[in-house]
Amino acid sequence: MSKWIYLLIAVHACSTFGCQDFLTIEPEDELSRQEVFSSIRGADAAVVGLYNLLGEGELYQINLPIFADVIANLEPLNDEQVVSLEDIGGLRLEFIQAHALRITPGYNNSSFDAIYADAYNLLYQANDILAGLELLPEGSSEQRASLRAEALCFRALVHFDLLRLYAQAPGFSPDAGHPGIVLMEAIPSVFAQSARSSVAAGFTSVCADLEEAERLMDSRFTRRSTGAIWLTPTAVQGLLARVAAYRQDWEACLAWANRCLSDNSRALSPSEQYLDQWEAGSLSETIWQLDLQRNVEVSGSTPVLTSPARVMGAGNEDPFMQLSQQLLDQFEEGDLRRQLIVTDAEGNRLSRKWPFAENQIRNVPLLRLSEIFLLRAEAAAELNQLELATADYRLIRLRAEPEAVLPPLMNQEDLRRAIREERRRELALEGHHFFDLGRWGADLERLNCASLVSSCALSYPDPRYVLPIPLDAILRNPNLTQNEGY
Amino acid sequence: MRYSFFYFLLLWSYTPVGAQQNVRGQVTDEAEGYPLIGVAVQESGTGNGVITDFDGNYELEVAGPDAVLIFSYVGKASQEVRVGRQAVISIRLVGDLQLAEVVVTGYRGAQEVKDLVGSYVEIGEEELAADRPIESLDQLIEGRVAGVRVETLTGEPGLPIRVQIRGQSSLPNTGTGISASTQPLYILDGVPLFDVLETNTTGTVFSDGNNQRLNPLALINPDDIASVTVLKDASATALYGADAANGVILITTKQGQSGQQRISLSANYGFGQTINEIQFLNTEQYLELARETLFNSGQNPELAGPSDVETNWRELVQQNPQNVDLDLALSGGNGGTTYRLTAGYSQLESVHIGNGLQQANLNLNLNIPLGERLRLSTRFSGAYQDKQGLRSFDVFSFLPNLPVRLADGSFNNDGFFINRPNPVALLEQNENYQNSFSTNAQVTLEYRPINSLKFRLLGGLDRSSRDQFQYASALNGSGRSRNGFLRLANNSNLQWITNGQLVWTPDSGSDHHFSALLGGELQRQNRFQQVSTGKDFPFDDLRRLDVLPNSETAVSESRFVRAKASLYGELSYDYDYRYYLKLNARRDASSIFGGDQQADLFWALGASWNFSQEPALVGNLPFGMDYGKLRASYGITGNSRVGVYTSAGLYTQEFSDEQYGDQIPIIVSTPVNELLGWERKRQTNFGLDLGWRDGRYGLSFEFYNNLTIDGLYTFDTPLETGFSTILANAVSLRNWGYELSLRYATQGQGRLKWSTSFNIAHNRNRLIEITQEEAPRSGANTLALIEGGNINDVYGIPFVGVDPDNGISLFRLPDGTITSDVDAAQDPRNFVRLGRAVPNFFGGWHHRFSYGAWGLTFQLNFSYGATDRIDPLTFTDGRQILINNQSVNQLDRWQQPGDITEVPRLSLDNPPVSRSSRYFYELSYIQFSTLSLDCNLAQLGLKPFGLAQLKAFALVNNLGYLYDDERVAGRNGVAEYRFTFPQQRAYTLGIKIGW
Repeated sequence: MSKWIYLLIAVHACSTFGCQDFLTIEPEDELSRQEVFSSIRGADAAVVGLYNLLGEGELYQINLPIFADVIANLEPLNDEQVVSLEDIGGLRLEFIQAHALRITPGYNNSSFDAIYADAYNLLYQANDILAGLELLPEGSSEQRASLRAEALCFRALVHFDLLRLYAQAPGFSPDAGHPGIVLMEAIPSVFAQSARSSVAAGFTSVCADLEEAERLMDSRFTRRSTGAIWLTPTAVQGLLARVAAYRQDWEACLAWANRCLSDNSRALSPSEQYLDQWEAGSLSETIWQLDLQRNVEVSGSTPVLTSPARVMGAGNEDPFMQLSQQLLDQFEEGDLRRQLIVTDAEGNRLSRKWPFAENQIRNVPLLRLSEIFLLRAEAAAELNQLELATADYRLIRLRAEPEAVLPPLMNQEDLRRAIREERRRELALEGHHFFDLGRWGADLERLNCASLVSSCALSYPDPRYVLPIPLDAILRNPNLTQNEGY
Repeated sequence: MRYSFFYFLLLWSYTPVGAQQNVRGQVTDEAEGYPLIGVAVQESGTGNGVITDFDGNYELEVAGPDAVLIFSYVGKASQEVRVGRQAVISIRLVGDLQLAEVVVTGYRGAQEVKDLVGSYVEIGEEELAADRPIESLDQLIEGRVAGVRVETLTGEPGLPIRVQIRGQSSLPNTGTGISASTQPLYILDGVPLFDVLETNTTGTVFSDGNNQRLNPLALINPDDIASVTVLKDASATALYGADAANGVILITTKQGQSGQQRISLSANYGFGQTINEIQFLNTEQYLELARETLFNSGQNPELAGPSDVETNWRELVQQNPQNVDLDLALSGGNGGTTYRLTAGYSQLESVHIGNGLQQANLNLNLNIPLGERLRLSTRFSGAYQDKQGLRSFDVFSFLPNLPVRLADGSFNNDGFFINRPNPVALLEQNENYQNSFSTNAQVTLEYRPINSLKFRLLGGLDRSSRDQFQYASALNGSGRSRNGFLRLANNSNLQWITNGQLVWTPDSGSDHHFSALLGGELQRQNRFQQVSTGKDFPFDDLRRLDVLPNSETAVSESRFVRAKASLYGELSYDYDYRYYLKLNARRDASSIFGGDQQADLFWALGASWNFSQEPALVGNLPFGMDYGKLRASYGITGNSRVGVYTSAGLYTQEFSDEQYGDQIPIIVSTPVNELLGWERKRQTNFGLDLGWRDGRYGLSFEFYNNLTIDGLYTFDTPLETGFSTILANAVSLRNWGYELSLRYATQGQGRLKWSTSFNIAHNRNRLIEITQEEAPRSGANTLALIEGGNINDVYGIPFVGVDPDNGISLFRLPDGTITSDVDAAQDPRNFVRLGRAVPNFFGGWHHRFSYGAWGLTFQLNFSYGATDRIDPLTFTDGRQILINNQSVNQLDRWQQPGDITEVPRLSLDNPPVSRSSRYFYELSYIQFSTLSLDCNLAQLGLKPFGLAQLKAFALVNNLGYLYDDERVAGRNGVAEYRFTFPQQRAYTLGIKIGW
């Protein structure tokens, strides 16, 4: 009898003292970070997660694609009887408030404040991937470098968007020494209370990340499936051109635009297909767009309800706002793009760039060739290379308005104005105009503002060219300073 | 068995001398009512004596009326009875406080009270038998052990009950966060029970709101419990290491007794009635107030609705519940093998129609000697529960002038009932039930190679599974918007434990006593949960997910595994049973945290001094004191019951079917967290135990000071870190207090026996350090985490009454100004401390009287000085009157200038000030918790059908409360507002028979 007792004792002793494996248990519901970065498959899925995060509701699903237009290119509906903001509620209020330049640090009833938190959440993941890639035991060095490039690019893009939203453009002060944003260039400790760095430092960081990304990125690895929904070196070059324009570094802007345009794999959407391509959902000239099709459900109308189509999409029977008369007036009668603006039964002007239909959602265009041509035109004009500038300008203008009669060569001042107007027309409702006004140091001119808008026009400079830092963020971080004027 | 030989010897040694008077009678066991075999009955001062036979009977000739009989039995207190002129003297023997006081201490098994170093409180079989709990044993602890608070969460039968030992040593979670469990660790015969209140599911489909839990203690039939021991200080709990910080409750089940086979059957029947219901407005009163509100708000008073409808919603959903409980026990043993098999069935209704619990239990204890030095014991417990869970208690505030049915006889489902289901329709059309099956089993092998060495191996299993079915019908407001909604949930939890230990108790042959223990333990827990939901049912009576298209169904699941490996040991020493020293330690390694916090050492050092044994003091202590002990202990225990793997960072798929360009994206759900580990608690305890006059009087006093270091809390973080909250060990919290227990028991002659025990406890806490302070916030969250503050303090704005001139509410700001500015009253910066959510002191007072065959038990619980925030829904001053019926207190509203009242002018526009002191009530009460009367009919000679045992009892649970409250006749007070689920008073009648 005692034999098997000793056996039991031995077995028990072994199991108690011996087995370290007994305690090694991976979580079942989720993936541990260690598990994610133990395979190239895991790291790749984490990078795909960044694309997903950028398409979150408060970021590029609804708010960011049109925030700049809500202020500069939209106006209240014709029958809007609103006298005070208190009479409106819900999502509609958020956009009316933004339009009225009446967002306060408390962001009362507005989900615009979530942009801030969501952006930093994405930055965390980008930084976590950058650190995690260092642990990755497998994959070729090229593929690892390319994954790193994508994470860097997302970090740069989100930093750049935060700068556009919460900090005055670099031209606001001579050396861009005014307050920028809190830069997140590594995984922070859990209670880190970081301070804002200057706009100059912010742009330096953005450019450094993008330049490294441009060097390391390899589209063999980034293009995981078809469609222009993945970052490519071309896209990074385009973003570099855009960032350089904000810094008014025109030589860099010209150089990056040239690099970007040297990619022959796509061409400007031709004039005869321009409207059809908008109708079909995306332009063939798109360099990068966000895939939002995951939001489309078999039934229900959820996707369009949280997209710019909800705000002013053609086909929407209950829009929040309409395109401004001023914007419509920008287009000549023969301009194809004028046809992208339709008038509904109540006489409200809605956009066919963001058609409203159940079970559909438009992929958000983040970068397309027309913008690159216009950036090159702008840079060339600033550098007084008027021929190149004029050629690029004519390319965009004449595509939309083949009948237009344009002077063969314009002087720098006329050209600058023409390019700016063209930029507003071509990229209308794609999230640029208000930010462009800021970087140009131009006034916001609005003619039809309902009585609820406290000040219709805005002369540059003004604190309201940027959003207030959310009060919630200020309360949580004593080192964070509020923007001037809020 | 082993004593019987001894008693046969006794029998032979006593021979009757002289024969003046004949006395006979029966000796029975106080608790169980069984006849006691082999009790020595002796005439005092003579050699004359006899022992009782198999039916507990004796017959003895004594010298005369002055003779005194002494009844003695091992493990029972001896009794002396003067014979007088009685021819029949039947008595009941109770457990001997001096002799039988052994306490189950966990790994070390039973120890004598005088040898205890730590803080243990045991409720023994005798006490348990007298008070029958209605459903589970945790209710039984209430008021019985100093420093233990039992909180009923709802009052619905079968739901978990919250037990707190020595205050709250972990911070609560504030809605979205996770926090460490505040529950004690329950151990059933060496097998830990699953902690259902573990909070790792918040914010998921598995969270409380969706997922009703069942009380795991309900698995144990109260009839099977031999003792419950509460372990309070570090010296007592350190052997439980990382799970011991909230105290440990050990439950020991009854074993079979060698000897004759016994069968007993008990049957109880009970019924309940509700007490302290909130009084709402009737239709006449309602219309008066609603019309006045509308008029005051510039609207048409006729909008208040019809006056010819009077619906008492409460009566429609409430019932007087009935309970039935049947238990069968079979026990016995021979040849060293003992067994005890019990089966029980109970049915409990709640005060709500369609809500109740049925359960069946089976328990088997078996002890088998495998050899001279080897013993096997095993226990199997199983329970099945069927819980009916329909409820609609918000119905109490439905408007009284709404009809249940329309003129055509169909349910009134329109208007008001669009989203708040018509409760009568809900009871008829909805379904909500869950079935659970739990087993808890263990097998132990004990081997004593030599007398001083004991080796034990234990294997145990705790498993429960639960299926839940909830259907909200499309025919009423509960399921209308989803056109019928079905939720099926399956939960299972499996925990196993193996344990091996060696105890060495050498016989030194001197006054130095020494013993050592060494053990190892492995534990693993697997949890699996699955929830399937479906909506849009084509046909309301076909409640199956498979009739739905895939797009209308959804599935979620969760798996959770953790493992723990532990080593523990204890060294104890005493000199001459006077000076005791005990050192114990446990090293726990757990799978739930990464990095070096995976393993930790917990330990405790305790010492005690039995000063009453000092030769110089024996007989010289004041007031006849004959027992005195001083105890002190210090140690560190932990709380690893967090339930998440979060320190190393986690990724997840945000939504199950989400894709980006045909690729699966994953996102960070939890960041890398260098500040996360388990909580630890430094505990200091001092105790003083005194006894007088052979244990007639007893006193215990304890002082403790517990410091939670590395306390867990979900903190707000700077948004730039990428996350808005984080769980971190960044709190330090002190709990200190004292506990006093007093007891008295009559001894010796006299048929009237009285034993009583009283306990009172006081606990304070202070937040010593927290990384980020949290001011009181707006809304219902009354918590404030301020360094130096008490975490149970509640904050709000003092309400100072109503302006007699215009009927507007007035509030006092911190600077003393009185204002009617609502914005200021809602601003958290103006909040001041209004009180404390937990009592200043609380306790209980227990009495047991017995006279011959009769017994009476009475229990009082009391609590003083807590501040309770009540639901403000029923006094909204007009704001909600068109949606919710209001308390009758609203009748005292301001009507005209000069009115002095607490209720402002009624208006639909009256703004809510949810933290107004008007909603905070002082909660001080005495609860008459139990009154029971029992009678041992067999002892009175009533033994039909050859029964050996026949007992009957009548019991009232929760007789009522006495509140310290200025009551106004016809108005509600704290008694009514305190619970939304009405309290019930329960009457139970029972009978127990045995052969």
